[in-house]
Amino acid sequence: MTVTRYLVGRIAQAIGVVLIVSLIVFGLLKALPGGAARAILGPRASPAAIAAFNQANGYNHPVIVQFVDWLARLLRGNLGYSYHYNENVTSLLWQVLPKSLYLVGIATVLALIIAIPLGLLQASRQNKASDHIATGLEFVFYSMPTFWLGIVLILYLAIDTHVFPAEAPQGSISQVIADPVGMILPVLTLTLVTVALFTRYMRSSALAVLVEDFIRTARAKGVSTRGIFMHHVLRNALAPLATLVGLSIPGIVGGAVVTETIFNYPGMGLAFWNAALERDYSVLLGFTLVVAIATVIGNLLADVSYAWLNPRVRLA
Amino acid sequence: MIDVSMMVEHLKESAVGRLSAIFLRRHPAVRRLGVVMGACALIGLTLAACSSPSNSSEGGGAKVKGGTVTFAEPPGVIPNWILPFVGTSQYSYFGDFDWDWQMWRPVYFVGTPTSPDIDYSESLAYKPVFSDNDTVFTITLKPWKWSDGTPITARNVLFFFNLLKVEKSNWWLYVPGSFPDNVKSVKILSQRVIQFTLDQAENPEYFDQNDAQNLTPLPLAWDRTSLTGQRGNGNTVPAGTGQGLDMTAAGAKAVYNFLVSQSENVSTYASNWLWKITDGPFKLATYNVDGQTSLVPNKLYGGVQPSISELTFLPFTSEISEFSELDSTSSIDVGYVSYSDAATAKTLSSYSLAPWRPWAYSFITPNYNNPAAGPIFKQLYVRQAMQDLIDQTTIDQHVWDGYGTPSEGTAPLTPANPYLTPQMKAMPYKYDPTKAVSLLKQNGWTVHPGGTSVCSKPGSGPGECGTGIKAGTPLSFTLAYNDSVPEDETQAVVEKTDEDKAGINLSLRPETAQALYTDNPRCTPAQSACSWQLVSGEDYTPYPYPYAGLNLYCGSVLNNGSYCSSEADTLMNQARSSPVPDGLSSAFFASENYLLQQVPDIYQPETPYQLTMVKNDLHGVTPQSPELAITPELWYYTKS
Repeated sequence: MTVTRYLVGRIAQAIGVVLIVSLIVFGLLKALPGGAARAILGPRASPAAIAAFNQANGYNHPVIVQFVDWLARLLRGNLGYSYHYNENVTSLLWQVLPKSLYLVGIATVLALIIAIPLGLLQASRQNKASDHIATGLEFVFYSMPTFWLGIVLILYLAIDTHVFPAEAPQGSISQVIADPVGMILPVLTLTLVTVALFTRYMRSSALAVLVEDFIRTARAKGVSTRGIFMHHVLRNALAPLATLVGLSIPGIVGGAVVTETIFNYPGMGLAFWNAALERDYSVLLGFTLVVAIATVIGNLLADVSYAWLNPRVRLA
Repeated sequence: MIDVSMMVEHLKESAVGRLSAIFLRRHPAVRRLGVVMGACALIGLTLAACSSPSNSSEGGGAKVKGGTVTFAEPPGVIPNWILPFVGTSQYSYFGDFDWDWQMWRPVYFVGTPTSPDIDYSESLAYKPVFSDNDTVFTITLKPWKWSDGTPITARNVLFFFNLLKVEKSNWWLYVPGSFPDNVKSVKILSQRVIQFTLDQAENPEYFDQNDAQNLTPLPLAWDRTSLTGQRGNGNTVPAGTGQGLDMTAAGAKAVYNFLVSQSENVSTYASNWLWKITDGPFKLATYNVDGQTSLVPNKLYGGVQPSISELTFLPFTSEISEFSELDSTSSIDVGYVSYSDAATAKTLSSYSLAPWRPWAYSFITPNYNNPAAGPIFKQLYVRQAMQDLIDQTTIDQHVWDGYGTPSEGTAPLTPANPYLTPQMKAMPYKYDPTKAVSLLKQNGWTVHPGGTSVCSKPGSGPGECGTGIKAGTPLSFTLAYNDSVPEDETQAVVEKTDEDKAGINLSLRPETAQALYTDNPRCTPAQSACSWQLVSGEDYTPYPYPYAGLNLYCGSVLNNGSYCSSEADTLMNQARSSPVPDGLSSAFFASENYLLQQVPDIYQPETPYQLTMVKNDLHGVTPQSPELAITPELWYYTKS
């Protein structure tokens, strides 16, 4: 099967999944206690306001017509209106999504930059002292709650020593990007927790590749250890990690609510969390849809990258 | 015997352990019932100063003009509704009256630091005049100006009233039959004098503080349906006071819809010319959609000119992040701390801690319409027994670290005020488990301390359980509480433990602040939403004149628990309509004493709105207004 045919098929599949998710989201909207209007406008909304809302959103039409109208609005980028934030969900999304992508994206990239060579190193030194020490540290960071790590970093690197600011940069994404120092602590918090997971995967994957016949052949041919790792092990060991990263995309899009809360960094995660607490159904459902789309895209990217890394895998 | 204090300490340890978890401080909705609008003063009142330390003295160095004050918003609060007309949908989430009030002040502004009184010096009008047997209410505005140089006139007040009349069902404070329904006519007597004629005589204090305080003059430049062109219908500017789009119902509705549409466009707040016309001490300088916003002095404000040059509102995602910022950089001038951090906060040398005590009282609301529990709650002796089991002193000392104050009756007990009857000051419901047990036994219950008491003598006669209570009915209820604040949870656990002493079994149900509001609504017995039984954490912040009718009158939309007593209604009506020849009416006191005896809600300690942290070189912030208004025009820096 050619890559193009594969991609077309997978995209069609992805569209189908997104449609199903949107149907579920629409169903949840209809199932809101007291009706969508009451749930969104609040318990003290007047009957006139309820009626106006239903009229404006077509809730007095047949259900199938409502779904089609709702889909049409989605396709036009209209995810609804949030009375809590007093703005369109789409506008809110464009404010918080870039921030989450920036924070979690950088942390993920950094974690990969550290995890890949570290994992290879540990594989080359399996069961040696350095491997055990690194494994111990990884387990420590992996088991560490994000909020605790964040608070400890704030305590020692901000409050006690004033090395870094306690809160992340504020304002728009451009203002955030303009203040890289302010991002160090939140990024460090997320990176330390994430790098442990990636490193363990990389190490296991590399160890699995190292026992393959072609590695033995390469050694027999006199390829250096460095050459074996760089030219034979790396690409083959990356495949499972690529899958993991692809599956992490929804998390990148969805933000990191705990880190955002501790470092005063309003991103997707915190917006979603607050929407859940505040019963802001417009935001909840709109963001759910966005994360669902990100999940589908992430899976697609994982499959494609896996096939690229390992040509032996047929795209079927 | 359970040592409550030990238990509380244990619970606090676990609460502290959860300190690092995500939590929100008390939801701003605690201010929803009446505190948020400026109020007319009770004439001539002087209340005792709050016990919080004052930094209003001139001490500490020479006064310095200028400076930027950074004001930390409560977690999750974002100033995101600019129109000074809050609708029912916005009210659920309205983040920041303090921000809005700096730009548009009500006619009567309640910013007095030590009491819930009107601050006439910062109000737009002089004291109102009552006449014609308290059916006519005349307001004279001061000769102040809008920030665009036009005078603030009676026509501006009428503009707001016209919008209110047509959109009252969308107004968050509207109670059918109350303001503006009680206004028969409005007349402009001169440029600065406006007169309201009521449909019946009303207690002037009631009308002053509970109705007229809601009047917020609006600039006539807003009387339009388009941003461009002339005012009104886009043609000529109306010349007379009787002209304008708002003078007809259809026109007022169109104007309202236009203003709402503008207010829904948050990204244009700083650039939209509508919002540049203010009558308050400040005007908007910058606005970020994430909630960070700055105000600068309105040089044409007629009251005290601000000493500071800028006021910045800073949003925070959590108390943790706010305290981290406060502790690490001291960049916040007016901030807050959680109860758990209070001890640490006191060690910060550049700050002073000042509890912000609201004009409020706190209670547990019983649902009188719950099919199972309603008949039980309707028995006075049950409510009295439950109240006798609330140990407010212990709860305050061990849960709220002594920052709380007791609640009992329909007026706040602190600060000292003239609304309290001798009976209220005596606080008749002292913590007395023996008395509670006795009450239940005398009324047909078999009491099982530590277990669940049951009705053993059904019936409605003396010594019997009461109407609608069958034999074997258990004294078992669900108590919903706000789990966002660790101390609220600890308080609920303590209350459960104490109610157990008379076999009143409380099942605790934690909920978020917003869920507390939406999941426990006013309801009828047949509705599925009526399954709730008790909800804790209701803070009623009355208008300065603590009229109980808003939350206890039969059928009032704010009467969440559906308490209903014809006798109470009669007394409250009399309190509202009785003339006041020389101060508070006896009808008011009679209604208070009756409601005190009736215990319509189960009272618990009222706690500070927040534990405020104030930079030592910033003065005028404390004492803090019990009506939760801030007056940054009175703040100033000193240089030592």
